Amino acid sequence: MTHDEFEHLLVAHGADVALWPEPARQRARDLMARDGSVAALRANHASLDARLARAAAAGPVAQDVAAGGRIAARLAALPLPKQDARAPVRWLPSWLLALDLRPAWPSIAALAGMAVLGFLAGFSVVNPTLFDQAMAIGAHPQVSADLSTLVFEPGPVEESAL
Amino acid sequence: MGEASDEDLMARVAQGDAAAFRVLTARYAVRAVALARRFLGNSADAEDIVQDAFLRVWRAAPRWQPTAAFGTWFYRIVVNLCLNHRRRRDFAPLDDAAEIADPAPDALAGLARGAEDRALARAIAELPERQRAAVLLTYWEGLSNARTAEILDASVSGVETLLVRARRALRARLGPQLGEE
Repeated sequence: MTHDEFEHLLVAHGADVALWPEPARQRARDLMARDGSVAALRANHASLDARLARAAAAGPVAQDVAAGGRIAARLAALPLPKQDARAPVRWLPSWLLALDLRPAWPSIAALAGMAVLGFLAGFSVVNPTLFDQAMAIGAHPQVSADLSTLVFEPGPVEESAL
Repeated sequence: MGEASDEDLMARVAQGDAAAFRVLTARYAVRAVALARRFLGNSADAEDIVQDAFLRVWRAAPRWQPTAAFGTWFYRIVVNLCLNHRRRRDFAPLDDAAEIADPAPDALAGLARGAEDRALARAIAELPERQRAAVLLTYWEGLSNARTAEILDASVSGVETLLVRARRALRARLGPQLGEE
């Protein structure tokens, strides 16, 4: 693990290495064991975290509270502008979503895709040769695209039976 | 109505309900103006931008789709307006330069809680725009990296990279003070 990777993880997951993703933990500990500057980097980040948290915890200042009040008062007093048109194409998905009737096509498409993959996987297990032929249909026009020849392939007929 | 969720209120705002809009306004005005002020370093501009953002919410409400939290969408409007405002100001003719307020006094007044906070505010004000936005949304607004990514229209790893760079710059500027803690 490099310093950059360590710093990226430090920002993404905080200073406590125990809370980092499992694969990174041991590599981070190895880096800390062999490179003393990493401990200083952690301490520096922790100090910055504390400074940021203290400033953020102070909450809004009086001038922000006053400005927020003025904005709310002005918006309440002013005549509000005309709202954008509600074309059905625009509001229908929103309306359906609000009723928990979100369009089902993505789920149906995913299900159909899984079914096709399952069929092909099963087909390849039953007869790998036929599977290869089936896959080659698109690439080799001379092979018959009639799937029935792949699924049902009768054995050779005895000459005496002809 | 004061207890209603943001999304319920937006559904009413979409129907032209001004009372629901007022509740949303009261709920978000102070936090939004604080975010914009820290971003721009100027209270007057921040107030104008947040009012503009609320009017955009009102106008666009019928087209709003509840696929993301209202707060995420609203902060995105505020941050984009702040970015546009700074770009317009950066390209303002020189004749207008004298009318541009110095951001330092407002920013410092907003965080006038000791020399350390002032130094932190100054260091944040000097960050590049997107790094500053990522720091303010993550550490001041307490948003997750994922929500910050939605607001900034970036990936989560992109936000993490912005934060890594921002923190390096902050540590470089505040270095001696951080070492003392």
